[in-house]
Amino acid sequence: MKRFVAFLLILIVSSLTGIVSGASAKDMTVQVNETQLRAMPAYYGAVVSTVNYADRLRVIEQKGSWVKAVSLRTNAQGWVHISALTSKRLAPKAGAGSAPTSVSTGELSAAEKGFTEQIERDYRRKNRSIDFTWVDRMEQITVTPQQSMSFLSEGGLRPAEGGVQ
Amino acid sequence: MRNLLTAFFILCLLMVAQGCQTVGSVASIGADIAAATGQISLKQAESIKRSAQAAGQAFEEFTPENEYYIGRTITANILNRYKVYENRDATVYVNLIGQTLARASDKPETFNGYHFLILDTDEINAFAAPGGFILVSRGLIRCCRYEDALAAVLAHEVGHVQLGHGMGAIQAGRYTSLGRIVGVELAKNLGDKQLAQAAEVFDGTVGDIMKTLVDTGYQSSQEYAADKAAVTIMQRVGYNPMALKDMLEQMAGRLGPNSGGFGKTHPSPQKRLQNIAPVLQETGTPTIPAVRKTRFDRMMANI
Repeated sequence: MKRFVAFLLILIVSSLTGIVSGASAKDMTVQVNETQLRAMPAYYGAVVSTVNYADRLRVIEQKGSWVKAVSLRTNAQGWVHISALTSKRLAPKAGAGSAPTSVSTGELSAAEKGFTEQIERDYRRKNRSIDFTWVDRMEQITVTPQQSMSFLSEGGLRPAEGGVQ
Repeated sequence: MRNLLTAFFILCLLMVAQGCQTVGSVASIGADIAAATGQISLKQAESIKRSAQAAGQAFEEFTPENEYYIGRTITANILNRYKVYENRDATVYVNLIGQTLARASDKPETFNGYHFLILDTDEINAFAAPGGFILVSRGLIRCCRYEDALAAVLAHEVGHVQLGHGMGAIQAGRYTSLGRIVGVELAKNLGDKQLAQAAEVFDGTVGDIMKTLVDTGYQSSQEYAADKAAVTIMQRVGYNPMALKDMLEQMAGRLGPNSGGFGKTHPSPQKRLQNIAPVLQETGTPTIPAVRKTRFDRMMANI
């Protein structure tokens, strides 16, 4: 019985993170490396501010797949696509410019602590024949929303936003 | 047994309180911790995890950052088997179409964005690694007679990323193994022992996805879902979705009975055509504006 009570306690404590974040459901976390807050709910809207991985945002309103939010770090306000956000809390990367966070490592998801840069370093050390050069190179090929826009209009196409339709 | 029933009851209550997915992982990790610290037996932990898994699928618990690192390693492994087609104009053009389509998808944001490369092979093949790393072969691009058809190929691959098919190929047990390792050790940087254990799970994860991408292929239903997603994405930016039909017809003519690549991993173009036909019925015959035809011919001249 004692073991069972101990287990239940652990279960409840582990769940607490979720309940706490559930209580402030309007706050979300940036889960991509970097994205922009925009003046309109569209990629072609002007950039208001850049937000980074683990930044907390307070949601003001939602329109389709776009969310209007305020950065709790910079107070900047703008629209961001919902796929860039999560309701979980994330810890900022080491050396990131973000303000200190109240997130303890215990609140991190297991996976977040699992497959990271450290694992890739280890993998590369053990698999020297696997070359990452082109993976790094392909990540450098970036098309800006403005380039997308010109490409579309030149081709007689129209800009569209994911999920808004 | 009574204990387990009570635990299950509490689990159900928590599910109501928080939503199913979170509880799936929380209970799973909770059970792992309890088992690792000797509070419950492994058998009990497995039982709790089984009920937890019904509540939330393991792959949904990986963060975009995890997807990114898995995707990088998958891509490096595929590029270990194929040469990159080093044609700057063609690569930039494929990225212009691909990244523009990705922005119109339901999942425009991945950890570090969508990126595309061309593989220097006659084989008809393409790979969409988690995180948005997309590789298409010269052989597949040769099935495209104009830009809209190439857009169909790229939108289909974006569809796989959007629908999480690559991550879905990971065996559910991998995530719980990972939870068992790092759920106990709460340090951000893993110690030697935890690193070795996590690395083993990582190898297994990469193996699961490679096997699906290279050998077995996705389920037919996933390919049809990616075709359907491709049509939606194409329509959002104004590409003619009938180009998907044209591309599949060209592929049917080029794909031999013993072809590797798509011949091995995909349902036949005929079956894909049959499946997508009801969606394409109302969209008419493709008329491709001259400007798109011209830029495609210029960029793809040497493909």
